[in-house]
Amino acid sequence: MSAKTKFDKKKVTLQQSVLVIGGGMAGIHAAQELKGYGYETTLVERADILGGKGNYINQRADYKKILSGVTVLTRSTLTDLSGHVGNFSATITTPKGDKTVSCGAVVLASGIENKGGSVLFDNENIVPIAELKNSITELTEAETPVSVGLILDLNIEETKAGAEMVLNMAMDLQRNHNAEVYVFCREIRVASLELETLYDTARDASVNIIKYEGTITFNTTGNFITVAARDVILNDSIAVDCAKVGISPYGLNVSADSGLAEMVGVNLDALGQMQDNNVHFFPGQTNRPGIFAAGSCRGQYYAPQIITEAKSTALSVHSLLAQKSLVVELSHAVVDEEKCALCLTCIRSCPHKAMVIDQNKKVAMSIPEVCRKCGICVGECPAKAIELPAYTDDIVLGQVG
Amino acid sequence: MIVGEQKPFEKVYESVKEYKKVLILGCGTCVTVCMAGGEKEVGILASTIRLANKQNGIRMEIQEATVARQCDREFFDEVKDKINWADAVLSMACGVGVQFCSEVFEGKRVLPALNTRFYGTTEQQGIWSERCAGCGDCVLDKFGGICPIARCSKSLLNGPCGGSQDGKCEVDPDNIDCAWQLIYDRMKLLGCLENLEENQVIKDWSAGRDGGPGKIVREDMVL
Amino acid sequence: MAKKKSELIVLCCENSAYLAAESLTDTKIMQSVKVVMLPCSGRVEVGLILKFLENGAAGVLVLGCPLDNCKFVRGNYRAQKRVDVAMKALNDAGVNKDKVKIDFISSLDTHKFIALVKEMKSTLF
Repeated sequence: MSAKTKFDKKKVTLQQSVLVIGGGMAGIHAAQELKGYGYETTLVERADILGGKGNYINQRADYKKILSGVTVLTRSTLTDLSGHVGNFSATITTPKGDKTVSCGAVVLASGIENKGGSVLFDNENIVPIAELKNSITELTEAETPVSVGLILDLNIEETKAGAEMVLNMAMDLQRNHNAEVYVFCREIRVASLELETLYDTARDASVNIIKYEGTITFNTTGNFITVAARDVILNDSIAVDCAKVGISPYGLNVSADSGLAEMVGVNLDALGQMQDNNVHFFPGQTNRPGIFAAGSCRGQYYAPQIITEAKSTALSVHSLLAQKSLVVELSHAVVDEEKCALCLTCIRSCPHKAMVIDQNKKVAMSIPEVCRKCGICVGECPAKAIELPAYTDDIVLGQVG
Repeated sequence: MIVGEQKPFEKVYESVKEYKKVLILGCGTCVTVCMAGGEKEVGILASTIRLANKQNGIRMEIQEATVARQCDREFFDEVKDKINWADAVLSMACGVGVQFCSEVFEGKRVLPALNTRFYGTTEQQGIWSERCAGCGDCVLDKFGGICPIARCSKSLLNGPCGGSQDGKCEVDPDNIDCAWQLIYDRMKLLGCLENLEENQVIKDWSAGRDGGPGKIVREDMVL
Repeated sequence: MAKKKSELIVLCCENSAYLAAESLTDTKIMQSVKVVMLPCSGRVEVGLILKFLENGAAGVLVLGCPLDNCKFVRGNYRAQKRVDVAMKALNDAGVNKDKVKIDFISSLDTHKFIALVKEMKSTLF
């Protein structure tokens, strides 16, 4: 039996509007680009001000000017998202009440949540690096220089952003806050001009950078924490008594907003980042057609790259919506209503969330413009109720002749 | 729903291989949802038996069919020709369906392919667990909605035993939560913890299985 | 009807293995081998695999995208689980479970395709 090749087609109009969740660096730049392409763009930010974690980089950025023409909703959050690619309907809770926004695509730029608490070890002087800021006064006012240990890649490989942050902090503490800084790292990623310069400047400022291998230990000795490891360059063990130890937060309990991910049906990968670490989705696509991700919520922490990727994600959105409509071949998965037991298996297994419940017939059905025709649901269905018209069992078996 | 799982293949094969004409009959409701006896599983079991027959030089004709339910007689109508044709029906329904098939087709040899396990829920795709023991006298109102009869390994009604450790049941700490821990936590959340001080008297088990085979007659519904 | 020599069926994901197979220039390797195209390895079913074998195939080789690189996120993981079930069913039936295998290759991996087909053929024939 030959494969069915002729299918009817359906036209799906793509709304020429985009919703951006998150007003940090990624969200701002994505929104700016999208507005530039001519889309009605709405940016939602839960804090009072824009900038996210990028505020420490450039506190004087004029976001109002950058985002002119974009509808900016601060102190607002997304509380519901329904619909499918080209026609989403979002409920945004704002200080003035709920607002419904229709859009053709959604960009998730919600940043990262620091899940880990301050108690990493049984010692209040070992903290996430960001919390070292709280100790600055204590350091500056000490009578003698205080030794501070900064640990870069304790649990997982760090990115350039981690290196940039640690080196900046090391120099700041060394120069301005009376500290003797020891940076411990297994690898430090400086493969970019700015970072190489930063590394050299840090060394010139007398920051000690120790490359170690194997385990690193933290032992409380009196008022100090003895940080010990095997120095790769000296080929010998090294131990430094530090008054304070900061651990780079990117290696710990940092993940994208899992509540948001669940709400919009986007997968989180093993590191808690939005978007599967899958080459087919780079740079900004997710498992759900029409929903994109940019910035630290998808694991990109290095500022220059966040901006570049936010712009290329905006371009991906543009190449979707610029078509103005999709001509969808109706070869999507078809559910046999008699056999469907509404066991919900297909709804749970579809990677693209293309399967929904037909509330009238109380059976499952696939949305033509979302269905990617992979056949995963066909293989999962315990009732053999789903068929891919171009790849029925007969057709597959018939290929052998 | 009723949750069942397939018997080990060797046992099923042993029971069916003497027959020359076998109908493998699936059920489209509970056992489809728990992935044990729906149309897909019928196909797999049929193929496996056919492959085994070829290996063992056994000649057997196999037909496959699935009906919406095997616990209501009308659903058998569409397959009655196949049932009459068969020497034996290998039913992939729960115990109810297996029996009912041979009641409806009097004297028909109907064999079970499944072990019916419990009344339960889908915790997540691929994982089902027991919730109800069918005791016939539901006391869920007294325990914050968590059943000590079904979910406590000892069906205790007045608090946990000494085997409750870290919220787990000593019978199988990896897999069984202590029901009484769950009850306590739930009733605390509901703000009715003090109700646990009410002493539960000895249960009348005759309302359920222990009172013999059950039967319910609704006169207003009888045609 | 003449009895056809039993073939090795290779179920190929059209995004990876099928493309690797298309680049084949050596046709000798494909004797007694039949390539079947699937939209994704996730379309593979236990029942289908068993049916191929019932219909006389010597073996079934399922080829999908490398893990974590499935175009549809998890088709290859699903296929892997289903092949495990098929192998267990074959074992139950007293049939050599090595008649079914799954592996993961990219669209550029024609060499790996050839190696896997050769290996499977030597196991079966």
